[in-house]
Amino acid sequence: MTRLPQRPPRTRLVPLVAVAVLGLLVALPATPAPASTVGGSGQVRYGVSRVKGFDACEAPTANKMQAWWNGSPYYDTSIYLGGVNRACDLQPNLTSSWVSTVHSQGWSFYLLWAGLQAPCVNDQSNEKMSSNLSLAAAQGSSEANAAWNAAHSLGFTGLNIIYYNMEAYNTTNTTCVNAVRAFINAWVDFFHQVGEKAGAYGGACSGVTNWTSITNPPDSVWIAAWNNDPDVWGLPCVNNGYWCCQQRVHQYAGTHSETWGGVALSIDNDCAYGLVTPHGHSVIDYACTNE
Amino acid sequence: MQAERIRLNRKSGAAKRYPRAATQLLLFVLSLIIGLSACGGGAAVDPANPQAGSAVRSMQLLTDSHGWALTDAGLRWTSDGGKNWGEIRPPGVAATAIRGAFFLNTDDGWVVVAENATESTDDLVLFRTSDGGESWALSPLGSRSADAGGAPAYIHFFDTQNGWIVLKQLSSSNASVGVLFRTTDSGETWQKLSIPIGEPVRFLTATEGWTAGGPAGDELYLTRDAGSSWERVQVDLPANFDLATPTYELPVFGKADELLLSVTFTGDSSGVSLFESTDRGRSWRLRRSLPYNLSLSTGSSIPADIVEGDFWVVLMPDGSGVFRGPSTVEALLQTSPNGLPAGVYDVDFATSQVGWALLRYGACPPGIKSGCTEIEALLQTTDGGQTWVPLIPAELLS
Repeated sequence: MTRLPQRPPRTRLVPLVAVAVLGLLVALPATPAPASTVGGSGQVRYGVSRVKGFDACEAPTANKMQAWWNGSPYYDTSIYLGGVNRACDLQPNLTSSWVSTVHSQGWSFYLLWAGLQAPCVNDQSNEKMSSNLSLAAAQGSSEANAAWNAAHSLGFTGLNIIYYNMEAYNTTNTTCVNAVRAFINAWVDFFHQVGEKAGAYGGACSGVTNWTSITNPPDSVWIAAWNNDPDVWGLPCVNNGYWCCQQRVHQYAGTHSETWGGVALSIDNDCAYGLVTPHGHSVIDYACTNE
Repeated sequence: MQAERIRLNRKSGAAKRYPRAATQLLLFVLSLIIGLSACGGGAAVDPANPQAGSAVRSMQLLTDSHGWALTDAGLRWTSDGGKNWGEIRPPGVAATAIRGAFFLNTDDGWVVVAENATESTDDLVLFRTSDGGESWALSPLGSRSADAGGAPAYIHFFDTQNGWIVLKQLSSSNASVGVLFRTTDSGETWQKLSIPIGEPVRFLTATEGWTAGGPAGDELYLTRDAGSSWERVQVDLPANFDLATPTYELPVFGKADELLLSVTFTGDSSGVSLFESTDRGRSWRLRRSLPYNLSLSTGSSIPADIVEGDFWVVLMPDGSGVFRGPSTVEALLQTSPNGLPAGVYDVDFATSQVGWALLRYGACPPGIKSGCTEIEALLQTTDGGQTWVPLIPAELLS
């Protein structure tokens, strides 16, 4: 079994220091647009993000993304690469050209795959994986292969991290939980075989809590817990010792409308101390780690 | 289930405590926003107004003078058009624990509260009042996963007996999941049902109800058996919006017992249309459309409301215009509103003149992604949308 690295002791700062740090942040410029582009040489690789982001069902236009890069506190955004359960399947903007343009604006990405869901998924309208462990593992590997291909077709030809979008399921159903564990294990194993990283999105108590002890745990987890606190630590059901070290993204608020730069988008809020593609950012938003 | 009765002194409300760090941060944010210019069209809310940094999460305007607003600090009630506000939160309930509220009229209301949080679950309880929040009765609703603790509860009552609650469940932006509960005894007992999406419901009779939304906002469902089963409904896209994605609102009754439905169309050709149905939602006919001069993203909506049978009010989300008038007239009255910035996402009119709107907009210093400020506010108009003023004084928000 692969042991998850342990989290170093957490430093608590007095509130005034936190306020002072926030004050210093005001003086920091926005991260300049990265010199590298997605794809091409294959040298571009995932990196650590410690800033806020958002996820949206459908990729907004490049112009809207530019307005939000200029006028919002967000640095990372989602891309739903595909999968049989991708809800917004039209994705009229999502092309390799869009990826290149939006990345050159400064954005990094949470790459997501919305494939088969747990046999006991709360939303029973979803296409589901098998309850048979061997079949579930094969499906996990197959989904990983499809996601990898989809990422490459959009220009993510470097070393990526792709998160599996596993919606909330009944964690008291042992057969179902074991199928999910086998599936995620195979998902992660595929990406390790090709030298890349694998992540997984799930509810803190309705998903991620089941993935701590599988043979190949996700390299980074995207934990949904809508407590309206960006901090990646102190979440229910997922002890701080798990996915301790630059391995967490926290989805802290559900879908709502926000307007920045005069542009409205329907989004969920996220804060990262974890991996994004194609690379992270040089700035730190201490709201994500409360340190 | 035996209800427990609790009395509340509305005037005293509940004690409020704020950690020093939170207070410092609020002061810090307030100091930052002075000097920031508001974005978008229309006249801006004063960025130094004391609503910055606080959230008005939901609201309902019941009459031209009565309404409530759920904020980070409490469940506020006004009976004089926003001049004065009282606290009607059930005693002992933290404002942040309130997941949803609904009032059928100025007396009968319900509130869903999450309490007793543990590592993995919250207990959900329902408070109900029949005296406008003077006193509350309590009944349990069950438990749900703690990581869904921040998810909203959508409440709707058709009358004092028949009600429904949708408990939204945790999901990514790729999904919308909820569980439906139904009561026929004013909330004493509840039956658990399924619902295709985790979005608000509205019942126009004791058995006929609607829900709309979903990850892309393009799902509309009808039940004719009080929520036991749901069928998907679609409208034909108007010619101008045939490449657009619809975002559905919830239907209301029109003057002649017809159903009226506002639909936003997103994409390159964005706008809002009003549809009517004379067969209780089986088929829909376009009544009229309004184009929007900007393109909207999938899932976005143009806030609109229908009052007094067929009076349609539409607020363009960039604050550039308000359209209003009987939906059957050839030309709606168009105004360039004062005090309505970009970022309006919800509107509730009680009459053709008096309405509330919720807005949320943010701005960052030029070239800097730190030090951004977001303002959430409740606005009121008493002249049909021509002018808007912020409601709720600072001391009730902070």
